[in-house]
Amino acid sequence: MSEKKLQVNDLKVSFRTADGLVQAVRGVNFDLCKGETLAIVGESGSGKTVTTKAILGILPGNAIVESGEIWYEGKDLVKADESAFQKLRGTKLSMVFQDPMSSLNPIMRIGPQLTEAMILKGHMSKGEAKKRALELMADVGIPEPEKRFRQYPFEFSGGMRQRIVIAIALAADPDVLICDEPTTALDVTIQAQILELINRLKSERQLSVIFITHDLGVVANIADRVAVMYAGKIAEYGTVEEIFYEAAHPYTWALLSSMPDLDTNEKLESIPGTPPDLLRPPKGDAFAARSRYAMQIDFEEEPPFFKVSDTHYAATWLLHPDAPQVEPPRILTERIKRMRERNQNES
Amino acid sequence: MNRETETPLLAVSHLCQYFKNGKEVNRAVDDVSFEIKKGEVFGLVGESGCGKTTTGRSIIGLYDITSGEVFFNGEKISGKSGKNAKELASRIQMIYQDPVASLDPRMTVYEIIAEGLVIQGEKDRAVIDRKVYEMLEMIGLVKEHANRYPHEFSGGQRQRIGIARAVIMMPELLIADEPVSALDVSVQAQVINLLNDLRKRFSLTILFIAHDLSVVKYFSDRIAVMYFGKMVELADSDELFAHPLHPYTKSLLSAIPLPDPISERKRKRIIYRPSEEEQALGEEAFREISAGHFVRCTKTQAEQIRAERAQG
Repeated sequence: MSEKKLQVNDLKVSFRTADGLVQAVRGVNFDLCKGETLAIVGESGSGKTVTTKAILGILPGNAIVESGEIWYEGKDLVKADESAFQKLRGTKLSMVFQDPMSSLNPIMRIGPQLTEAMILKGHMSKGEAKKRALELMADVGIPEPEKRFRQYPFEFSGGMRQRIVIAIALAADPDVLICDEPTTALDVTIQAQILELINRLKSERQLSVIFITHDLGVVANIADRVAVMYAGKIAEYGTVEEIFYEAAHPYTWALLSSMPDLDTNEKLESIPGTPPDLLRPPKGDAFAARSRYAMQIDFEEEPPFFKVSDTHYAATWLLHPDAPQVEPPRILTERIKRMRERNQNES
Repeated sequence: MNRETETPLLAVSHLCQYFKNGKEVNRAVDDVSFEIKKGEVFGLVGESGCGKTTTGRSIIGLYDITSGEVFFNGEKISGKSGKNAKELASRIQMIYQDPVASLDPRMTVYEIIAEGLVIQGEKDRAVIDRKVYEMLEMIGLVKEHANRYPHEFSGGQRQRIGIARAVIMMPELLIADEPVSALDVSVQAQVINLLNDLRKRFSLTILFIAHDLSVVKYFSDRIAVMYFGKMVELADSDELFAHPLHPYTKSLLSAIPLPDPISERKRKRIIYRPSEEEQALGEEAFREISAGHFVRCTKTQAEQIRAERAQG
């Protein structure tokens, strides 16, 4: 495997609330290699955003990093102070947020918003910064950058605004780009454009991308590797093919089969119930209460990661040698069969 | 069910809805015509700003339409409908996109679901009770939930309450405006399954407005595609996906992300540039290419497509 850019070890983050400590992230491990896209998927409240906020040091004031390490270029970011983060944020680590409407300043022209960080951080002159900003705007596919440079955010469409946000994130040539649901607020056609843009920039600049989403179609398009999060933990991780064709965790099965594709006509498999309350996280496998594959041990003891292949691990007791053999939901196995046949016919 | 298939449940004919914006006129819906048969699910798709929501809202009279006519069960309901608006409300109901904004935070779930019945003049408390509890059970909540407030529920549960509020009126037509797009994937499936159950149980007719094409395909019998206020294509759901004709439909279909990494990698997106096509000039109109498959095109284009089809 190529050079590791970022390494997260046993990260635990809790929030102080009036009701007690909410354990939002409960021991997350992953690494990110140079030039790869890692997608983190899961329902809302599974801790995806909190994990990435911890990496950037932008957790809200009531958050506590209980334990863990985040290694970036030989430094542990958990121990880093605000001034160290200020040097990293924007220049080495950048983030694109979900809503392009609220991440731009509505009463500031696009130009200064793009050059602001360059002047502050890159120590460029105004003229240099403008030149660079125009290049960036052309790079992310904005027509007539000279004219657009002087406009306000409201004069841009949603897709164009998101391109500006990406341009700002790329302004200082970061190594790691974190995208938090960057296309959720956009239409399919615009979403496809933005995904193509991120894919192109990634390969041109050897960017490492962490891509947070709950849309599995988007994951299939953009990810090299996938981590599935549930209730503050990673339930399964592997390459994108392994997750989509050979998923091993019941939660991944449930996620995959709850989404209709263009050939689905049977009843969808919905996930019953709601995610657990992280004020009092359940003992054992957090997904057990909603899983029809749950066994007695799932309620008693937390499953460790079982190895499926060198790159594919899943935390479920179903992979234990003594566990009964179970089949994934029919809707999923049939879809995989269909996909395999189609891909074979095409190639 | 009656067999009067001749009169469609809803007929929209040459509907135009313009909004004045200073001197400019925004043609949100421009000459849209379609019919919805009894018992079918009619999907309306398109990008944001294409006028699909406006179409839905114009039908139930939330806007004064600029021109055109809307017929419900053969009866004209557009125009001066103020008089029978209340009566209409019990026959056409709407589900909204945002489950947070569409429920009054100061009303209990019971009050929210019962409100329609009360407005329609139902005074017998026992009848209301029975209907509300029945509805609650149907959407997967229990009696104990009735006295809680919307904020105590998750997004999916709230959307189900919104559905209960609409379905308790036993409407003949249900307009669902992006009912699942604000929900998480896992919850989406719950709501889609619920709508499917209710549809079968009450043989509901649904106008399903959405931008997620996989969901629309799964749910609809026929699909209409809108682009900048105009309807560009209309066909049976399978037909539309198998043989899209309009270039915009093709580009829309090519942009759907699918949960299949290998085919995603090979995906070629078709880009629609309307300026070129529109410069082709000629009389653009909504023409029927094959039975039930309409597309907006010029006469020569239509002949061309028919010829191509005949060949192979």
